[in-house]
Amino acid sequence: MTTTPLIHIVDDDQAIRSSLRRLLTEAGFEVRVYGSTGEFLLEPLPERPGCLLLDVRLPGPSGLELQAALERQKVGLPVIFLTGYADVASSVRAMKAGAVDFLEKPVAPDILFASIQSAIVRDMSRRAAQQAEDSLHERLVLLSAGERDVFDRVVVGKLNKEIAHELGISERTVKTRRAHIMTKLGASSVAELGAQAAQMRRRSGGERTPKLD
Amino acid sequence: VVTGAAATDRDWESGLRGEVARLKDRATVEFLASLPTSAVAKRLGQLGEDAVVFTPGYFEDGDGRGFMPREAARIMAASATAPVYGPFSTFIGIGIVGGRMPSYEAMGRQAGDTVIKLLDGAAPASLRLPEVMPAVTNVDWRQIKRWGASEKEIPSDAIISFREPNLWETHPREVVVTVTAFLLLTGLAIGLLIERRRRRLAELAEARHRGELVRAMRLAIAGELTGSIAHEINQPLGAILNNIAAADLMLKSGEDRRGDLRVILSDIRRDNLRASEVIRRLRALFAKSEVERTPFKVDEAISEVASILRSEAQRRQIAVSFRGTMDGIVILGDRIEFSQMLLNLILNAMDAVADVPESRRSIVVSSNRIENGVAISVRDRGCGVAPEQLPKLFDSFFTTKRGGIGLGLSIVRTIVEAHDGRVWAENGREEGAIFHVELPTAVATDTLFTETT
Repeated sequence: MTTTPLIHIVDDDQAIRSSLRRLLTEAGFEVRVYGSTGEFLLEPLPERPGCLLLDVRLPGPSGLELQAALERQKVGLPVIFLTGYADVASSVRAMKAGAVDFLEKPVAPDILFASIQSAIVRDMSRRAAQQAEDSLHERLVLLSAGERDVFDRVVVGKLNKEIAHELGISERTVKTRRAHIMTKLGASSVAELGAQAAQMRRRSGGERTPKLD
Repeated sequence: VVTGAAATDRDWESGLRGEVARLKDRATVEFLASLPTSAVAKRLGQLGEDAVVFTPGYFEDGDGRGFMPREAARIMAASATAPVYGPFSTFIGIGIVGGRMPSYEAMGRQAGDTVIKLLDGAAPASLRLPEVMPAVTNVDWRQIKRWGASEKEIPSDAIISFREPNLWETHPREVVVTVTAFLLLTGLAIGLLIERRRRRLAELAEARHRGELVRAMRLAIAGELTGSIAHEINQPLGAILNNIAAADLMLKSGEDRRGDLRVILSDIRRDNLRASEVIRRLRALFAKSEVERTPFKVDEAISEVASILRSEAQRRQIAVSFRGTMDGIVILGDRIEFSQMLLNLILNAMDAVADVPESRRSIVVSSNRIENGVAISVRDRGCGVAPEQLPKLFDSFFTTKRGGIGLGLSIVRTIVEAHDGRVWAENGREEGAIFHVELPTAVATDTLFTETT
């Protein structure tokens, strides 16, 4: 995975596209420009940290609609809106949907750069978290069904005695399985195990730790 | 005093000489007796302002020519430079002013009375004829006027001949009717003039109100388009700012980037012009306030409206297409009001398709030449208009929109009618509504433009 940030610009205005590309290139970013939401969706999205500078009003589907589509497709690319006219309704909708910023053109370069920086930081941490989650998922696969039952209960803070009682197994078996789990997941402590599980819960938005298919 | 040479004339002369002796203290009396008619005429033609002529006429003049006294008097009246008077009522009408004259009519009546009495068996000896003939003053009105005599000095019992009877005397009823009618008509005319003036003032006030309302609604449109307008101006401004920041970074890099900087400068210039073009277009639509009637090209006005609405249509995700050409056809009127009228219709259509699926969010604006005019229609694919609402669409304060105040279409009608045109609406055969506008053209060709431009 390349770590140079890549900035995507979707704007139907040629003057905006070329001037933004020029500015961001001068500032050391790598830039891709698109004239419409369709053009953006047709290009494969490389696995690189970055952000999307998105116009609101576009021919065909609008920027807000693209943002919603990316959300549905679980594409976590941070979005910064750049609009010629920031009406309240659009800005509220955009920010609620998780936009990094909603900026009105003409936008001062330092504000734009600050916004891009924070979007990239956000994307990088998202990617890192994603990566950790992915590796946790990979390792969870290694657990046996019995170990998984114990894992689910350990991460919610249950005592060995309770777990043994719930699963109808001996406390000793619980201890053995816990040791296996620690080894397989590469966790050094129960606390670390809990943190990993909590992170997974947050990201999936569910109450429970996700079950693996 | 003029008398003649015949025996009767001489009797009259001597009678008259006796009579005039009474006047000796008040006037100088000159007798023209037994003179040739030509001499009489000559002398009478020399008389001054203070003279008067009296004559009983004569039967024979100094030359021995015979006359009827009336004819002699006629000649005298014709030649005299002073008023002529005579003793016989038969002289009235030949040019004499008048005189104290026996009334032949009264005499006839007396004779008649006498005869009746005789026939009734009265004894002739018992009947007495009057010693003095009844006499009355006769005057010829025309001569009174001619000599400038005072009307007041005519005795009240005088018989005035040849006075044009006035209308009041001959047709009193007609006069009353006519005068009354005249007065009524005059009163009516004055009333109408006052009314006309009042109406004119009212019309002026109404025109002023109309102008104010139309302008106010123009501002409302401007308000409605604020988002699009800001967008259109901010776009080039954004590009300019980006380019300036990029140029800044290039200069800070310390490298020689003159080529890039030149490109940037030309981009900035282009974007600047673009922003000012937006402003110019808007000023053309919203800044002016006086209503003007000047010839303008319809297609130019339409394409201006198209460019103003482009961004708004995009914002609302509506396809607006313009069809038909006008080939420089010219209308006489207020171009801004025309644009406003079209803007209103299209914005109205945009509202009509706001809630329909995107595939139907389209508007077609067609313009066509018709005989002596242009026909413009705005067709949408919205839900159409309820048939019972069609006739009321253009009324003020009639609206079917939430939050609408119902002035848009009424303004459209106001503007169209101010341009001697007509506007109406109908539902499309399958969907939506169609608004039609017909306006008369000023001139058939664009000669007016080739002359002025």
